[in-house]
Formats: sequence, C-alpha cells, structure tokens
Amino acid sequence: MPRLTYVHALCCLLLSTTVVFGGPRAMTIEEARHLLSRTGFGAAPPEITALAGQSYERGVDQILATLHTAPVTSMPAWVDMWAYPQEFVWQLGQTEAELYFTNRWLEIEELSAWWMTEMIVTPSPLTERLVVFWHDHFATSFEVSENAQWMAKQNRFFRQHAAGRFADLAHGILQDPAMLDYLSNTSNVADAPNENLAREFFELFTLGENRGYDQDDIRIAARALTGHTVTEYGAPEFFLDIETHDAGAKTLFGETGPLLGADVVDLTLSHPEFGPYIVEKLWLEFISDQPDREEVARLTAIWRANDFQMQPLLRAMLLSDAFWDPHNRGRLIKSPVDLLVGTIRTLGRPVADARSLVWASGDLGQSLFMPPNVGGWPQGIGWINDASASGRATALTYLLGADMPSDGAAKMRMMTPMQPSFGKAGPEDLRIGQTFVTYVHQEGTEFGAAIILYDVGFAGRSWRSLTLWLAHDADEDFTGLYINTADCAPECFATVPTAEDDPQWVRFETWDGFLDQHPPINATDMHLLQAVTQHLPELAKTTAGHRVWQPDDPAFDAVPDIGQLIAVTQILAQGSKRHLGPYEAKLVQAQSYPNVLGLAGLDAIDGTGDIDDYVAAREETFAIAAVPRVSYASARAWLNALPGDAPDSQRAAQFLMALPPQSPGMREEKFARDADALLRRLVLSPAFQVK
Amino acid sequence: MTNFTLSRRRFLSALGGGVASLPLVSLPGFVKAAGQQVPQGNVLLLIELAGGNDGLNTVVPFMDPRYHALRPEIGLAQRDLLTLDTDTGLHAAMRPMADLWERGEVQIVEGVGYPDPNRSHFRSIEIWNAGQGAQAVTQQGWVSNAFATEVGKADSTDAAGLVLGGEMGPLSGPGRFSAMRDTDTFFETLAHLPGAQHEVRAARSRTPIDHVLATYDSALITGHAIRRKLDASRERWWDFPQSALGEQLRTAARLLDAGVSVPVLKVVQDGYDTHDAQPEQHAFLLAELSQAIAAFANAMRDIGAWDQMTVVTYSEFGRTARENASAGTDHGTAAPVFVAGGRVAGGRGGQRPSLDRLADGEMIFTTDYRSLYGAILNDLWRIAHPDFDQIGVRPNLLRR
Repeated sequence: MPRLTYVHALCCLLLSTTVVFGGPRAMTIEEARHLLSRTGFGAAPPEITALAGQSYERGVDQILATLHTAPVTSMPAWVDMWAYPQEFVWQLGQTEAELYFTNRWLEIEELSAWWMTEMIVTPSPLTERLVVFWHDHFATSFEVSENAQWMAKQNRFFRQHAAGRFADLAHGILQDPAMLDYLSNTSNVADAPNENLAREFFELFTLGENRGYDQDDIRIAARALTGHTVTEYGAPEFFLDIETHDAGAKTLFGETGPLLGADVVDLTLSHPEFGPYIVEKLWLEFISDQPDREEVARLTAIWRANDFQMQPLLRAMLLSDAFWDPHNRGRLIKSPVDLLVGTIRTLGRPVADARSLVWASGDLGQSLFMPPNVGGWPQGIGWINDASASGRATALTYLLGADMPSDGAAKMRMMTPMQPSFGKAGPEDLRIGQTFVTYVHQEGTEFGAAIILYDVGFAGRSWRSLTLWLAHDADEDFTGLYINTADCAPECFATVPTAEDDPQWVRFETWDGFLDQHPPINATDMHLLQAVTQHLPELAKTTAGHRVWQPDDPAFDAVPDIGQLIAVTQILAQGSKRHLGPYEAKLVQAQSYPNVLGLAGLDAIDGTGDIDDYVAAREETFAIAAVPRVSYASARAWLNALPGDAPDSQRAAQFLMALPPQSPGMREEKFARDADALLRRLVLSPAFQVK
Repeated sequence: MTNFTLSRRRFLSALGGGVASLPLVSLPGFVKAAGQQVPQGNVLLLIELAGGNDGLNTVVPFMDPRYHALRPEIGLAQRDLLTLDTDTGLHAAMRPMADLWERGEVQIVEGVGYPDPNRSHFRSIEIWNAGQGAQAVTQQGWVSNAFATEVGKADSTDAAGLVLGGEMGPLSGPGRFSAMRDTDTFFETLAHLPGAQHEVRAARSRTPIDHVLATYDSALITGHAIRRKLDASRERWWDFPQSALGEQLRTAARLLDAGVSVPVLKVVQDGYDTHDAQPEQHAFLLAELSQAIAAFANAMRDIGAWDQMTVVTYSEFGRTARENASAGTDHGTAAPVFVAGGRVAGGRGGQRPSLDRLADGEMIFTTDYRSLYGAILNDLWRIAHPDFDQIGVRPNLLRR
C-alpha cells in the first residue's frame, strides 16, 4: 500500500544516510596513491589498488605496521669485519696508502649501491624513507672520515631507531664515531673546548636555531662533551676519555652538575622549546612546503605526550587534515633518491646495476653518505634549478629506456677483506696480525719507540691491538717495555707491575731485582709477558721498509734504519729470558696480509703503482642488480595492469601523478599503440617532479 | 704580451658589429639612468670561499704585536709574507694576486661583515647571500633582488646570471638565473628537457610546481641561447689550473669569449673551514685561488674583456682572531674582500679592524657588506637599490 511503501522508502533513505555518514571513509585510488607515495618511494599499481577501499586509518596503520628495525637484504660482509688501523696505513708506503683509501671509496660505492637496492626491494619503504631522513638530519659525510664501516654502522643505527624514540637517536648520535669525527669533537678537550658539535646539536639536531639556547649554553654543552671521543688504537668506537673531559660543575637549562653529553641530551629534550623544529622538518618531509604553526603545535603536544616516540607522531601527521587536504597535493618536490627509486618502484623496472642509481643521484645533488654539509641536503625547491632540471630529465630518460636485464643478473660482491688466517696456532702461541712502529726517538744515549701490535691472540682471547712503549738508555744500562692495558683490560696483565705514574700501563724492566718486591705474577700474565717481550725482535723485523714518523722529519716519509730498534728489542728479549724464564711457545703471524689490511689488489698493482687501472678492472667485475618486488616487462604490461576502462592516458595519470601533467594536449590516438611514448610524456613532464 | 687595444678590436669585430660602442654584454632592462652615461657591459664574477676564510692570515697586519700575541703558532712573520705596504703583508701563497696588486688591479676591502654576526656556516652564508642583515630570513639572493624587473620588459641578456659552482646563493630567486657545471654536460642534459616553451612565466613562484615550471622554461631558453653562441665561436685554449675552481673559471672564460651576455657569474672554492692544521690547508687554498684568478685575468685580457670584469671574493665569515689548540681557527666575524679587475681602483679599501678592541673575542666589522653590494651595483651598473644604500661608508671600487 502507498503508506507502507512511503515508510519503507524512508527507512531505506535513513539507512543509506547512516552508511554514508557513519562509517569510515574508503580511500579512492588517488588517495591511496597519495598515501603510498608520500610514505614510500612511488607506488606500484597493485599496491595502490590493494590499499584503495580501506579507510584512512586502516591504510595508515597497515603502513606503520610494516616498519622494521633491520634491513631486509644483507649489508656487505666487510661491515662487520675487523677494521684495520686507518691512521697507520700510510706507513706501509705511498702506494699502499693510496690503494687503501681507494678501496674505501669502492666500499662506500658498494654500500651506497646496497642501500639503493634495499630501498627498491623493501616491503617497508617508509622505514628507508625515515633512515634517509635521519641521515640527512644528523648529517655526517664519508668525505671527512673516509671510513665506510663507520657510515655502515651509523646507517644500521638509524634504521634501528628510525621509528622509535627520538631520545635514542639523540643519545646514540653523540656517541657515533663518524659524528664525533665529523664535527671535530675528537678535538674537544678540557684545555681547549671545541664548540662545533655542541652548536650543531642545538641548532640543527634538536632545538633549532636560537630556539631556547644561547652562546653560553653552547659553551656549557661543549664542556660537557669534552673527552667524548673515539678510541685511538683499539676498535674505533666511542670512548669517554677521563683525562680530557671537563668534569667540573656546569649549569645548563637550570640544572647544575658535572654534566656529560648524555645529560645535555636529557636536558634538551626536557626543554619546553624542544619539539616544533623537528615536527616542522617532518612536515616538510611528509605534508607540504608550508608548515602550519597551529598544527605543528598540536602535533608537538601529541609527540611530547608520547615521550617523543616517532610512531604516534607519524600516525597523527598522516591522519591530519593537512596531509589529506587536496590543496597539499603536489606541494612536495621529490628528492633525487625519491625520484629515482620511486620511478623504479612505480613502473616496476629492474635495474641491472644499482651503482648507476648511485651515480645518477650524485649528479642530481644527493650522494648517499655524503651530504654537502652538516645542514644536510637541500630541501624542497632547493633541489630544482636549471642544471638539476635537465639532469633529472636525463636520468629519467635513461631509466625509461634502460634494457631489461635477463634474469640472473651478475651479483658478485667486491672481494672483501678477510680475517687474517694464522694457520694452526697452539693455545699459548702468540698470534699477531700486523706490527707498526709509530714513533722512534733517539737522543744521545736515550732511545724510545712506540710499537703497536694489531690483531693479537693468546690463550683463547683476542684483542684488536696492544700498544707498547720501548725505552732504553745505554748509559744507565736500562731497558724497559711498557704495555697499555686499556686495549685488553681487564683480561690482561692484572698481576704485572704498573708504571709509577700511570696505572693504565704495566711494565717490565730488565734490571736485577725488578720483580723482587712485587707479588707473584699469575701464570697467564707471565706467559703473555714472556711471549711479547721475547718475540718482539722478530715482530720488529717485520717493520723493515715501513715509513716511520720522526720528530725532525717534516716529510714524514723517511724509512729509518731499524738496526737500533732491533738491537734494543734483543736486549729486552734477553732480559726477559733471564728474569722471567724462556718461553717455548711459537709466534704465529698473519698469512693473508694484503686483504686483511684492506689492500685488496696490491699484488695486481705490483710496483707499477697504477691504481686507476686496478680500479677500472675491479669495477668491471661486479654489479649489484635491484629488482622491485612488483615488476613489469614493458610499458604496455604496466599499463595493462591498471584497472578500469578509462583511456590509457587517464589511467596512467591517475596512477602516476599528484597533479595533472600540464603538457599541451596529449592526443590519445598517438599513444594508443605507443605505451613507451605515453609513459615518457608523463614521467618527463614537470608535474612528475612533485608529489 | 698582447697589444691590449688590438685584441679588443679583434674581439669586437668578432661579435659581428663594427660599432665602436658595441657592448660586451647588454644591460638588464631595468636601469634608470638619471641622465648619466650608463657604463656598458660590466660583468661581476663572484667567488665564494666556502667554509670561512681566515682573513687575518690572508691580509696580515704583521706590524701589530697583538696579531703575534693572538697567534703564537700559526701567525705569519713578515719574512714569510709578500709585502703590500709598510704594515700589510699578503700570504706568501698568493704571489699571482700580489702581481695583480702591483699592476694596481686589486682592491682589498678590509673588515667586511655585518652587525650581530652569526657563526653558523649555512646561516651566515644565507645572510651574505640575501644581503638583508642578520635578522632577515628570506631565501632570495641580493642579486636577484637588485635585478628584479617588471614582467615583460625587454631584456637582451642571455641570462641575468649564471652559477657555475655551488648553490644559487646570491642568484637564487626570481629572475633569469641559470646554473651549469660545464658546457658539455649542460648541453647533453639540456637535450632531455621536454617540450619547447616560448615565454618565461611570472617571476613569483607561489607553489613548488610553479617553481618547477619556471625552472624548466628558464633552462630551455637560457640553454638554447647559450648553445647558439657557443656553437658559433671557436673554443680557445687557455692555461687554467687543474682544480675545481680552475675548471669553473675556464667555463666562465669560455662563455664570455663566445659572447654570452650575462652580467653576473658565480663560482665556489670549498675547503676554508680550517679548524685544525690550518697552515698547510690554507696555503694550498690561497695558492689555488690566486692562480685561478690570475689565469682568468689573462684570459680576459686576451679577449679584451678585463676592463669590464670585476672579480669579488667573499666568505660566510672570517675566523677567530685567536688561534685554537689544534693549530687552527674557529668561526669568526669580519674578513677582507678582494676586488680585482681591469678598472678596479687598486689599493687598500675599508678600514682595518682593530685587534685591541674585540667584541666577544672577535673582530668588529668596519664595512657593512650591504654597502659593498651597493658599491658593486652602483659602480658596475649604476643601480641604486634602497636595500643597499646609505649603510655606512661605501667603498669606491672602480676608477672613474
């Protein structure tokens, strides 16, 4: 009946209204593309269609759920290997030193190529986007340290905490060897504070310029950071040097005490003005080129309420009105990495040699691991000038035209430096990898030499190094050896007499009665002492031909006559045999010398000294391929993967562009058969540079 | 040595005109000549010394006991310097610069800086680039600001400015400013830009996409114009040092030789942030700088353009008056600026900052950098821009 029908219709209307206004809104294709490409690097069609239809919240939560703290592909093997003494390699000779640092540059190239690969294949591009962000934020450059291992470990550190607590990042970066070196904190000592790290910590890493701190605070923070340095002889890691640290009382942001670097971090994060600067940077990374002050304040409050953890902040940002506001489409410029990796992931193009991406990105102004200065890379429109505009067009042209590699692309890794192989060594044999004499001084009858033994193994224990000081005075008939126990404590020499003025050094001296007053030395210490003192002549002989720094030799490249050094070590050895007893076990020295020292290729150069040929030959032998998880064999295959019935150009634009292409009218029939031309048109258009 | 007059005439005829007053470069279309004879075709070459050049060890007051007291280890003695006058020495590595000085073609403006000095690298270089003082936060460069012109006005330059190294800096912002690393790469990459636009869009970039569009257009227009000129001229060989700076200056010389009309060029020399082990690094940099400038001067004399050139060095700050414990210096304040060119009024300019009266341990500037900019704009192109007017004493850079 009519009345029933009317009520029926009313109910349906109400029901449908409820469905429209009550439930979570489903993302359109365009919105899904936007969310994926802002949080990742581009987006492949299946990724977009899978996300479309979900609500904003579910989509964001799905993406956040993929965050992880370790890479999905393996880093190069040398990252965790034993690192040789970079500071002494020059002693081995000019060619060796040059080769050593050349190999480091090959390593950073390999590391950069690895990272590009990781970015291309990872199921969580947001993780990598955050790692790049922190690398840019806490900027250090390989160009300063030339230590690829430091950069690799730093990269790992950033990934571990990228979506974690900001406090962990801030604490860790003040103990990062690359950072301590880069900002000269290794020269920051109590007698002569160096403010570089303290200044940038406030200005660039935490508060932002002039927000809540002044020059006095920088001075205090610099004092707190004195002595925060890198160990010189052991594995180059963070080390607090008590001798150079200013432990005096300091007052920072209202707190007084013997403040250390960690205190500076805690006090800064408690500072009422901490927060907005970082949130603004993240806004510029994810939302638009114009941070909204009120929104930044709102987001900062959320961040603070969550103890400055990144995930709650990211969630709030990605669900903010500003993020979804259509006016903010296309308001971010793609960085070089974003452009290159994003295009590869979006179009599903395998890359035969990831190093080509490394070079291309460098040409466009973003060399991974080498930001131009401590302020990091350019931002926003800073990426685009006349030169980089045509550079981008060139890189994209090659990307689009690149041949598809056949499967099984070469994946040989560069020959990695191996651990020294010692052959068979008995439990109490002394194993030594390499000996360096770092200083020799002869004045009148006095003689002194600093010797460092690297890669020391004894009785089941091994240490990176042992630092020795050899002293001799012919007139006084005095010979002594001092060993720095900091390198091996607490496992070594605990029962051996220490130096009078410095308990960190133990000593052995050859005069009669040296040990009389001293409590007995335990067996292991005794054997190690015997081994080192009695094998020292043989170890010293291996340094023949090394260059040694001498105080009156400004050229630093003299090869001294080591006769005197050998003679003194022989006196020492004899004294040791006489007073401690002869030592029977063997000395075993490293077998694979060139590779251990990072001198791969030394034999190939072999006296000609021509490193360039070696590098060229080396580079020809390896390539690292990168295949995105979703890949397409051709432009046509990619187009066919796009759902819907709209014309090619329309669907392509929907899946590729944040803004309309802005090209003068594209005639559909022109592209009906030429998928490559269509893609080229869109990808090379200026609008493809924004997202 | 080349007969100067002869080579200039040769150059002018190579341009295809016999007119005696044929300019080397055309003026930007904004100049309001108040009845004066506007000088034709001057070119400014800016050399950024990136990192903070230690001016006190570059232009050395060797007679001042305070200098030696502040720098017991890295201070330079008179015998280690090139004597410029009774109380001024030039770092020994700068022999080619001293030669130019002797020809009267170098002015050293001492004590250039600004009030409320900032000692952060990139904040201070922003301040130098913008020319708006220490408080301003604009990204627009002072050259872009000074050249700002109404849309649509005829402009016969190929580009308003070209950056051959480093950031856009003083040339960033609206205007026909372009960047290139070297001519070969420039043309190779230019070939990949899509489409051919035919007008330069409005200077104001409101959104990132506007900026991208404007840049693409500018790159195409500038690129084509420069290519035409380079294709029409034969490349000359000059002897430039094989450094990054040398290469940039070689490119500059090539462009000018080909008749590319561009009033401002900018290059960069990196490495001046000498916190430790300064003596060796500083000597190396200053030698490189002087050799490159001398080579450029020779090339310009060769093509008869040295009289139109004004080379100006600048740095984001000087360094601490006192040395530090690592045989180096930290970030400081005021520093000298070198101005070199065929018609430069040679000699000492500005006023030497006192080493007795230091502020917070640092030198107090005596010439505001904005008046240096005002002097450049006035002396080269008769431009009077309110931002660079009336700020302290203005140097006289060119001979009248």
